Amino acid sequence: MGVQLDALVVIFTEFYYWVTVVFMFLIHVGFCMYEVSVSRRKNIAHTLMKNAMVVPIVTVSFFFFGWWIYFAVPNGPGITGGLVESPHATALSVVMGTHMGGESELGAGWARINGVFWAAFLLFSWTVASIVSGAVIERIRSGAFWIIAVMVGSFTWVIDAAWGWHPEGWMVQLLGYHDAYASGVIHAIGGGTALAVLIHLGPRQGKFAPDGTPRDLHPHNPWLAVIGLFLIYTGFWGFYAACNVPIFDISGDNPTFFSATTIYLTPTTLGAITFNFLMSLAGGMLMGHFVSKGDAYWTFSGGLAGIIAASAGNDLYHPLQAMVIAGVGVWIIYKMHFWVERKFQIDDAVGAVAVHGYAGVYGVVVAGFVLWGYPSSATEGYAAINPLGQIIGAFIMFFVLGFMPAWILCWILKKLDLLRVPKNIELAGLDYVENSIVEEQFGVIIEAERNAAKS
Amino acid sequence: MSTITTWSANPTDIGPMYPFVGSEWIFLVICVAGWLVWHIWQIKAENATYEEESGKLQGESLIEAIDHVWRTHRSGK
Repeated sequence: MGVQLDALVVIFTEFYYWVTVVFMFLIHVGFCMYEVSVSRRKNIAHTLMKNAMVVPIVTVSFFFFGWWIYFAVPNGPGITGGLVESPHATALSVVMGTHMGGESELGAGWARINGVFWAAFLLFSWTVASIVSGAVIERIRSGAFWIIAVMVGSFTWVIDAAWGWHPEGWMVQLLGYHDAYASGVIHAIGGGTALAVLIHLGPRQGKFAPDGTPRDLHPHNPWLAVIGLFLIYTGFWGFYAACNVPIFDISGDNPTFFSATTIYLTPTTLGAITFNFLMSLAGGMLMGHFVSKGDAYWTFSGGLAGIIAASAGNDLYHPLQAMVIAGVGVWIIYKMHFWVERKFQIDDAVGAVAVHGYAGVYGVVVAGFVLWGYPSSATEGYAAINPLGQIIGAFIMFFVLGFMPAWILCWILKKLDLLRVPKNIELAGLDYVENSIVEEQFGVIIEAERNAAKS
Repeated sequence: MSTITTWSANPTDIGPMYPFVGSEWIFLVICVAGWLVWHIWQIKAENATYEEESGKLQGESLIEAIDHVWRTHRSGK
């Protein structure tokens, strides 16, 4: 009976993550759709390809080394211990391929679950790279962006996940860091990375008037943008499910008691996170509509930012708390976006630094106050959730692992003249070459048809 | 070549099922090299395209291209 139950747990877990991965694919579809729609017609193909190619580029690098990093460095290394042996997660491991679980010291569990668990994390990797992608449209070189995507998607975010989104991460142990649905580990780091890239990249031509007043470079299709955001909501729901361990015996020495848990193996339920996902979405949309005076783009972005603002504690909040936290967060990030834009002339084309970065930081910090005193982990002896730990955690996510590595990488790319497209290409449009070829072909075909009509 | 020679074996004894078990490192070297070469090729190709087009888009031809972009944008094509 015990063996059969173990087998069912493994197969259920395998299927559960597989379903979440399919849902999360919609996040990338949505990101591509809304980035393309926000860009002007002259840049559509470049914008689409820049983000679409995140899929293969980050997938292979995450297979090569990203997955191993997550399991190898939860101790720092050097903070709470050394590198952790992670034979199941190296690119050479036999359980990184088709495997039935026999002849392996790693057991049937890893053999079956490794691929779907890897994929769930990989989809988070695409997401964090896509957050950066939207902010930098219409002037970044694709090659530069794809190097940045590998850095944030397969390296820096994976380190932050090992530190703060792992049941034994040193930030969880020492700081009491708690970030159940990734306000910090995905969104704050994505926003911090985007801000550093934007500082080096500079604004699009014509974005700011000579006196520094920002101009509205109107999306070529605002309705496609909001449908894209709708798709991101859908995928985000799958993301929430993917952040959980679906079935785990939380009873300790007591009789078996299965429950869903967070990544920290602390109990929660799909019901709880469904309440909170929807109530924080609602709080965010209502505030987004209010503060932007009914602007469609910011209403939908407000919904997304609302979820992000409440995500760190959405395993434990009451739904009404989630809604209020989301609403306040969206008011703050909306004001900050336009203040930073005016004050520092930062041209964030989709508001990604605000919607992901500021909302993520806010979410982590607020959870420190609202959840003050809760155990951060199922393991006894770890620090409890507390405001200082969360503030330090938010700083590590946004600045240490988000802003700093991206600032250094972009400084190098800029020195090599690999970061930004030439000014005249930007003015003519990044699709200028493709469009010229298409128009040339049209000309040839029209001429051929005219000749055919005359003969 | 084949790792599995019968499907009648006890499933709990079956480990890796893909062919050429033990040669993973060869494929890893090939794939990592291919991945790096792809990035280098892509950056070189992108630079070459921009360099060529940048030379063409000077003075009047750039103004003409900008005008054309905006005519297309307004007509919604």
